[in-house]
Amino acid sequence: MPEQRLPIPYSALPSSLIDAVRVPIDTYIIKVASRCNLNCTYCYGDESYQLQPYRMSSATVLAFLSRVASYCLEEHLQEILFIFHGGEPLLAGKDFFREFVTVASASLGIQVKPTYALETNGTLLTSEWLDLFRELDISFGISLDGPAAINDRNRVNHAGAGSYSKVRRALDAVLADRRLDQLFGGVLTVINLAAEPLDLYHHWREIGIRRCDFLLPDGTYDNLPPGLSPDGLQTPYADWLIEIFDEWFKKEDTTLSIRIFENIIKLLFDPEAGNDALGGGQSGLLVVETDGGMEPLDVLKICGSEFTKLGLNVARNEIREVHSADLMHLYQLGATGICNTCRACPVVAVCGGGYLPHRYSSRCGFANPSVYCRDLMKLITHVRDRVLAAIPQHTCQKLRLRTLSYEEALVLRVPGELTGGRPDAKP
Amino acid sequence: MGEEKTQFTIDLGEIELTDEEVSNLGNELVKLAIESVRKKSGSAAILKEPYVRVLHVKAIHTKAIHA
Repeated sequence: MPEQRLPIPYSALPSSLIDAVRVPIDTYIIKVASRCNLNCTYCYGDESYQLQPYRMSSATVLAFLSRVASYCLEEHLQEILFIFHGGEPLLAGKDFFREFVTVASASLGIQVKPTYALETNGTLLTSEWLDLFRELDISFGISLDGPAAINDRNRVNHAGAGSYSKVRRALDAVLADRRLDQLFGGVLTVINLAAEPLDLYHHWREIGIRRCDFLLPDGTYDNLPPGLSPDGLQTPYADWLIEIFDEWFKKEDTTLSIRIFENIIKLLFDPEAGNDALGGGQSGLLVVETDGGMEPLDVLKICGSEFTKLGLNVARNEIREVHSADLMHLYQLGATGICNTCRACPVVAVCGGGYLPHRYSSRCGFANPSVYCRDLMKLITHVRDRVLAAIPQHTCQKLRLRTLSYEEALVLRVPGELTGGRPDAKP
Repeated sequence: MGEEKTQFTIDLGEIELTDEEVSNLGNELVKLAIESVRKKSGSAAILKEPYVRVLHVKAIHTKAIHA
């Protein structure tokens, strides 16, 4: 297992401080199937999936839900969220989900209310699956990166064939069925800089998508995302997103909810609105691998092979034992665990230092700004200025609010330093 | 018989952003975000220059009985 280079030896901290940042686990990402029928070029998974069983066994489901029931009692939790994930979760088969929900009801009793969600690549989605989601009250999202010409560059099967046509068929069926409005969470899109942002936005509107989110491709300082260079001076993702934001904001497009933009606007008004990806919110999330292994955030796999392995498994360990793991502490710290460069930054209340995996370098561990530091700063200052323009002038005057440009923000963060804080960047 | 109504006033410390002022915000998406914040916690915050700092503001729930 590679050295994780955590910035603080959390296990050495006083228990009172550890307790202060400890978040009860109330969300479980369950890798119900370890394999995927797609072979997306940017998948964050390491090779460890090859050692996993293809599908989560009944024994693992039983052991897991028994641990969850005990943990909920210990922590006095009354509501929990199960997110079915993979691989491709539909490869687990319909019976798996019926069994899981049945066992969960029996294990959790009436004291704990479970909620179910699922993220699928959509290629296997049929009317039978949609019926099952309604039957079991499973909300779901579909991953799709854009029109065929864009989606099929990265989201391909193991033979290299694009997935758009299959996903589009499923998506059209979902959008045509108003009974699914409450269950369908929308489309998740990994940003591809080759896509024309406005073409993508209009494509989503034409299809009739009502909720979507744009995800920054996963990457670290050791393995930069596409389009970013080591000098850290470019902001291609901010520029891409701003094109869509301006169109969406100008249209006051309430028919299409775009989560990343809505979250930034909320964070401008509410510092508590953050999540683990934006705003430095603390998260009570735990990943359960197909073999029952318990791990912190799965995207941390991009930091190195077996980086997330804690050596804990629902077959042998209680859920509470994950709180003793340093990597779990780090993940749960949220914005408390950011580096000094971020602490001095004017937009930290909104970006929260960015997503934890995106801060990693083998040289400095997680004590870096995000690889998307400049992109986040540019996007946030842009959104902030547009929001301020919507506030009545007399209110802005009374509050002495004024715009804050990206260039001003850079100078305010580290006077005279314009490198984006990258450990290897040259001024 | 009367109708119970909850009115929101966002107290910004020195100034107040009333329901009317919120309704006069120049963009529906900003209104939606503020309403979402109010629903979630009954509080909101707003930016202050030069830093992107936040000022917590409290929602005042006024219950009025209308005859």
